[in-house]
Amino acid sequence: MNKIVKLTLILFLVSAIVAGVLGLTNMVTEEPIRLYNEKKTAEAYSAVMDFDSYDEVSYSGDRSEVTKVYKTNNGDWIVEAEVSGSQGMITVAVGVKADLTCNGISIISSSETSGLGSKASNAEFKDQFPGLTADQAKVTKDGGQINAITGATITSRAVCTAVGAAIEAVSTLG
Amino acid sequence: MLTSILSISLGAILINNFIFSQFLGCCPFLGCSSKVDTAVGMGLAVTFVMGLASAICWVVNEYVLMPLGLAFLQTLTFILVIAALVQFVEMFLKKSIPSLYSALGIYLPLITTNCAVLGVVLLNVQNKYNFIESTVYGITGGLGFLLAIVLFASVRERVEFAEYPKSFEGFPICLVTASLLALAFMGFSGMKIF
Amino acid sequence: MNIKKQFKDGLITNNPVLVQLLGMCSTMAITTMFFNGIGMGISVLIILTCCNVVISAMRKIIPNDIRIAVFVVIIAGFVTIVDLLLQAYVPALSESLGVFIPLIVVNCIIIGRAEAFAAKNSIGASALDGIFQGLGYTIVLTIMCIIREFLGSGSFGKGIINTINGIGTGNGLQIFPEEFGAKLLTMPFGGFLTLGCLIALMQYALRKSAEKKEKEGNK
Repeated sequence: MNKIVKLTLILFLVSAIVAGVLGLTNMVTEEPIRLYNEKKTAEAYSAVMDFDSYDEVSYSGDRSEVTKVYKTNNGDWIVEAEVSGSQGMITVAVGVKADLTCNGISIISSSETSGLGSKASNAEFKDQFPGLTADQAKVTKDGGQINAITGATITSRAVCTAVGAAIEAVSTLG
Repeated sequence: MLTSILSISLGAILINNFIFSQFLGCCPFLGCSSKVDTAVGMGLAVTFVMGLASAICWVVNEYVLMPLGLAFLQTLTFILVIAALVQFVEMFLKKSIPSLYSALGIYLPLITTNCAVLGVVLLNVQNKYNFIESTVYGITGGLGFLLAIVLFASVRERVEFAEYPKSFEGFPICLVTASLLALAFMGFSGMKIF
Repeated sequence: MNIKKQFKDGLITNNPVLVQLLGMCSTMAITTMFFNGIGMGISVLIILTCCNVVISAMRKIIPNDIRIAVFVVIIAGFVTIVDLLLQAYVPALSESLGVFIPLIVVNCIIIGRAEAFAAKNSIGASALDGIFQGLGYTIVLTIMCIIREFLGSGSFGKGIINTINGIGTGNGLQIFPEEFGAKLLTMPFGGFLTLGCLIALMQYALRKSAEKKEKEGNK
């Protein structure tokens, strides 16, 4: 019994030391990580819509993809939506104008295969969205106007779903 | 709710199979697949531990780490939980279900260092799954692993008799076999439940 | 201490990936771009060296019964430190590698070297072992990245060369148009196949050199 207590104590001690060191590292890195995430979100928002300020609006509608909705001072909307891509979740910021057309999209984070799905962040793909309605913002195979990324139809579809969900969410909030 | 569970299961078993599309758990996949029997044993043991680990780690993360603001201890805590869990399962099986223990026993210690187990737990957190979704993802991820390893072992048993260049002996030919299976699994990509 | 032998062991004769067949998951999963390979390789190199040193220093005081558990705790500690530092200072890499950074904890290279080398040797030798094994791993990763990136998407050094805003945003050198690349190679299929071929090549080379030595011995 004595031996077990001793072993547990040693393991506990080692874990405590490691946890302490991690705590210190976390204190150092917490600030830069937070700043980076804020900067990234802010950049994504300003890329999809022109605004001076925005307020968060609570949304509890049917589209479960939508995670955050903001209304800008100009009466436009910024919607954050999470959709599942080919390998994991993709978080997209969608700018929706008051007339329910898409103003632009920006990928905040994605866990898609590097080089394939991540092309969703490229201008070639993204620049197809501005001005489209929910019906038009689908890949051409589904009857919309978006040319899917070569070899990454699933990712393209997922992004289109996010745009559709965002516009639908805004239309119910009106 | 039901659709989300269905799509998680389908994703974990076929579309985003842990081995063929996410490369999680390759070491035991390649190491324990020379015979179908051992492959089945390993697959079952992994499924069992993955399901349990997903459930327990979700609780630990949600009720201990998050409220205390200790998210940076996730990796450390999860691996300790998994190691303890494996140890516990081993002791429990040894005492109460010796027949199952003799079947799975030798694979259990190997599971601690199986990246599919830690991987599924970390992915649960990353994808913000709730308790039920996490558990389902764990179990179906394990089933996907089971499917992959059994398929692979059955192919491997035949490859033994094939003729191939001498340099490919052993692991390389297995990897080539696995690559072809991965190619087959790519056919599932795009399947979706609405 | 035999530095030369350790060097050769780590890089060639006992290469962690090609000969010991350790750490396959990350090797196949993340080697789709040059940037990933270098980043992952260096992360593992640093973690491996640190773990080897600490474990070697503690080898006399760790009780044998719980040594694996203690190793895992120490490894998890270093991995988390590297993970946090990457998130804070090289976020592009951290996003690109995703879950595979925390998964270094269960990378068999680290626990394997801890058990096989650091737990039995002096601090200096363990540190060197960490560096050389880590280098061997990095080199294999880089080779795989170059092959898969070039044949798969026709580019070289994506993420590092031609950077626009900071590390990780570069488009790399486009050697031939992307549409002509064998896209399959950047998918899981390519990971298994490339690694299989590399190991086969290694076995061929080792066999040839063994045959040559045998011949020389006969003379």
